[in-house]
Amino acid sequence: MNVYSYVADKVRSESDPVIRPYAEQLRVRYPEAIAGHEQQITNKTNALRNCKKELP
Amino acid sequence: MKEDPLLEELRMAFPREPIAAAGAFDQRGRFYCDGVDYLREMDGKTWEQLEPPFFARRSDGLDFLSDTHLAAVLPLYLHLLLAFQPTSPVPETLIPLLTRPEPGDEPTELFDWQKRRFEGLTALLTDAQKRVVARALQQFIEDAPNEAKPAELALDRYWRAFA
Repeated sequence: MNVYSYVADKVRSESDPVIRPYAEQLRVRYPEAIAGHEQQITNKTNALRNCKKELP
Repeated sequence: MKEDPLLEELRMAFPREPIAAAGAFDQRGRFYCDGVDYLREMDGKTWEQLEPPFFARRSDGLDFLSDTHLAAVLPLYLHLLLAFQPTSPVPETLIPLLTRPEPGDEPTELFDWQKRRFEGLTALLTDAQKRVVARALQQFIEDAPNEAKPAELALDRYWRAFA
């Protein structure tokens, strides 16, 4: 998730006027994209915890 | 794979039309790493023609699909939930997706996203389809009592009203 934060910061602070419109298009898509990955990390973490509970 | 006692109910409730995969990841999955494979495997097939091992292994794709494509593959994943039970990654992704989120749920920052997704999916389902979802969760609880807690939460928060 740190990679996403890093990239989001880079895109948000883009200063090149030629790149900026494209960077803005990317920036608005990031939150929705990050959420899916974060949900998956949560799912896997919970699954791992449940597996460990089942261990003898 | 085990026998799925709800297969006929799934067939009755959900359409058996070919799924047009185009746009499946436009709403929330543009950065899903396995999107190309998922689209290829899904395109032009009915939910019953989708390859169970691939879609069970790639059940992480559920967190990136658009609402309409989620509804299209839901019957397959309900079938896989009962056919594979806890021996596949399906329950760990499908059951949270079917659980109506509440503001205090961890991780709290995902609440708005989860709420939009849950409302988007349930708005597309008929009462008959919701009844099958409820029945599938109940069957999963019966088949896998050690894994029942998340499915019970999903039922309590929404689906039991349709059971």
